[in-house]
Amino acid sequence: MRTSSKWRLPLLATAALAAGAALGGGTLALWNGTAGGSAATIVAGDLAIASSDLAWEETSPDVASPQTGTFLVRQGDTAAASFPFHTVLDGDNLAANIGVAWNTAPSLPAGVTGTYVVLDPDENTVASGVLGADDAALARVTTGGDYVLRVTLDFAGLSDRFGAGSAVQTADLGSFDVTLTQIRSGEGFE
Amino acid sequence: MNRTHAVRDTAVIGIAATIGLALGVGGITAAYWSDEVGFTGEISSGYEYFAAGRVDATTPADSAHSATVTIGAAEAALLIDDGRLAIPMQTDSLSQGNKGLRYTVSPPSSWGTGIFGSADVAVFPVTAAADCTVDASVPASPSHASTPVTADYSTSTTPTTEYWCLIATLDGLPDEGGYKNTVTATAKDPSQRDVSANDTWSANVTSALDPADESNHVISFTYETFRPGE
Repeated sequence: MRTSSKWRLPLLATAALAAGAALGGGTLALWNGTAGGSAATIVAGDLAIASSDLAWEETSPDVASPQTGTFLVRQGDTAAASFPFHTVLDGDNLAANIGVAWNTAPSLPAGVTGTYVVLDPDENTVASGVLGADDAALARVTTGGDYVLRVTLDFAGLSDRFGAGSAVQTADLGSFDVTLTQIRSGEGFE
Repeated sequence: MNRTHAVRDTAVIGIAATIGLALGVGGITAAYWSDEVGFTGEISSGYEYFAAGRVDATTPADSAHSATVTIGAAEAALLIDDGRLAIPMQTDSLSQGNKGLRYTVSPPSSWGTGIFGSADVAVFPVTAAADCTVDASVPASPSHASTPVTADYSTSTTPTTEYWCLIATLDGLPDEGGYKNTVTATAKDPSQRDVSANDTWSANVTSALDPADESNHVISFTYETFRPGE
C-alpha cells in the first residue's frame, strides 16, 4: 500500500528522531530495568548512598579502657573515626566507584598524622587514601552493603597543652563527601 | 516531488535526527547515576596543669615544668625569733585524657652556712595545710615524690591539691655562747701574811649571723606527665 504523501514526512522525521535517540541513549537499559516474566514488567534499578553517624574510638594500645564518643586526646594517643555509609546497587550489570571529595581541607595539629581506609561489609580493606586528597575511584563495587570509611589519627608528636587557657589543638577532618558513581568499565563491561 | 520539497524534507529529517541524537546523548549522561553523602569530624586535645607555692598562693610551673618556693631572710628572722618554724606549701595538679602527672620535691642540697644551715630542716608531705605545725612529727625518711594524677582517662578541670611542710628547728647558732673568767690575785700584806682576792667577769657571745644576710633557699617542685604503663 502506498503511503499517503501527507504522512510521509512526519513518519520519516519520527523515524529519524527515534534512530538518533536510540543511537545516543543505548545504555539506558544497563541500569534502568529488567524485564521479567510474561507480563514484561519493567523494574527500575537504584544506586544510592546513605550515611550513619560518625563514631570516634580511642585506639591507643596502652589504654586498657578505650574511650568512645567525644573524648580528649593527648600526646601518644591514637584514635579512629568511623564514617559508616550504606550503598545500594540494585540492577543488572551495575557497577560503581566509591570515591571521596573534600569540600573543606582537613587540618591536623603539628605532630599529628592521619590516613584512612575503606572497609567493605566484611571489614576487608578495599581502599586507602591520604586525608584531603580527592579520589573519585577509591574502590569499585558491584554490590551494595554497609561500608565504613575509617580515619586513623596518630597523636605521637602532639605537643602538650599547659593550662585551661592554652589553645585547644583540634584535629579537624574537614568536610568531605563520599560518592558513589556508576561506571561502565571493569569486569563485565569490556 | 519537486526540488523545493526535497530540500524541505531533507532539512526536517536532519533536524529530527539531530534532536533525537541530542536526546540520546542526554540519556547517556543521565544514565550514569551518582549519589553522595557528606561528613565532618573533629576531635580536640586535653591539657595539663601544675602549680606550686605557699598555701593559696601557688604559681604555675614554667616551661621547664618547675615551680619553686623560696625561703630567705624573712623566714630566717622568724626562725631566729622563735627557734622553730613551720611553712606549709601547696601543689595543684591536673592532667586530662590518658596522661597521668607526677612530681618530685627537691629541697636545697645544702641549706648553706647561715641560719637555716644551722637548723634542722625537714620537708615532708602532710594531709592538710593545718597539719603543718612546729609540733608535727617528721617522718624518718619522707618521700619527696608524688603521683597525684593517674594515667586513667580524665576530663577533670579541678586540680588535685596536695600539701607539704617545711619544719626548721634552731638549737643554737655555731658562733653563739658565753664567756666567764675568774681572776685570783695573791700577795702578802704588810704583816707578811698571805692574802688573796678574786673576781669574776662574764660575757654573752651573740651570733654574728644576721637574718638579713640569709641567702635564698629554693625548693623546686618539678612535674612530668606519663602514659599508662609508664
